[in-house]
Amino acid sequence: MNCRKIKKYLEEYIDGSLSEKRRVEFENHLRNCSECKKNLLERQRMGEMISGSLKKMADNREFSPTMVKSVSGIACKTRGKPTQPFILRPRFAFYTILPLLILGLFLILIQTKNDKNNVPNSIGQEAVSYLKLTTTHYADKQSDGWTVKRTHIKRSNGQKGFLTLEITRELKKSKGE
Amino acid sequence: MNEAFLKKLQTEDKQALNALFEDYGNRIYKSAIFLADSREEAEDIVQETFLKAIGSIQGFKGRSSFYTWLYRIFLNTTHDLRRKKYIHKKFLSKFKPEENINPIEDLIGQMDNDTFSQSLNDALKCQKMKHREIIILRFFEDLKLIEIAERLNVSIGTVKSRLYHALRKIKKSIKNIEHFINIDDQRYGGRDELP
Repeated sequence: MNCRKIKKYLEEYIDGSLSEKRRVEFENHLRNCSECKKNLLERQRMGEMISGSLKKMADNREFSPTMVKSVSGIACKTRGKPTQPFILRPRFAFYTILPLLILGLFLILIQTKNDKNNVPNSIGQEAVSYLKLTTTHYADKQSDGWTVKRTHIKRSNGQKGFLTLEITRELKKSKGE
Repeated sequence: MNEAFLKKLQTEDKQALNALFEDYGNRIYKSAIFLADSREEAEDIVQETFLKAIGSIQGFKGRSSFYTWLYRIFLNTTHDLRRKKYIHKKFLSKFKPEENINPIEDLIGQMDNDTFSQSLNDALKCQKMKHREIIILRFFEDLKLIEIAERLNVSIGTVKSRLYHALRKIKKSIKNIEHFINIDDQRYGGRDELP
């Protein structure tokens, strides 16, 4: 057994829980290693000092009899109370209401998604739904004087396209009008 | 604890409850004063421990000794109360004036003027909770490694590691510890009898 192992088994040796074989090896090493022996003695002495001090400090403290009575009284009252039915216990309420809430939220989300998917195919409604999503409107001036205002849209099936918003034509003022 | 006493406890016998406090109240309280920061906190911990123990006495199956079971409740209660106190200190103390508490330091200072005890007490206060409880279990309750592991529900390796670090911290914190330990060079220098 080397010094590292001695350090490892120090507490077990103090406990007396080492196997016979290990204990013999441990003691053989201690006979030949003054450093390990010093460590063991220091640890034992320190243990004695700490133990003695703690016990001395605690000896002067007693659990006050009034407190015993108060705890006893409260305990008896607690024991005397009829137990709350399981349904009314907070834990039961928590574990019942929480899944219901989650389920409710889930259903609402699904409903909202379905509503979005079921946009009627008429241009007016589609425009109302999708105009909010798009920001780019552009006007295309045709050679014949017509101006076509369009906007980019994304359809519910994922296809991109454009939607005609307005078709106007500026009438040229003819001479004499 | 015999079975008849346990049955009495389970059937809400007031005398049995009082006997329970008389038997274990002081033992738990003495551990509590080292783990709590004030006398009030120690008393709160003990009260809470017994209330919880009585509330769940039906759950005691006798797989361990009654004191081990009670001590486990005590340690859990200590952790809970200290966690609450930490949260309170961190988030709510700004809104409330500080309470007047009797620190344990003063309490122990009144009991004992021994320098080592004072230094040990100061060193304990600086320790983490897990190290403090290891010191109490090992040196106050005089438990073996395996018993500590059972009470804390951790492995023996963890117990040894925590004990090692706790002792090292104590050694660092207490000035002139060699003076207190006072190992005679002659004892370990020669090839004399093992301790």
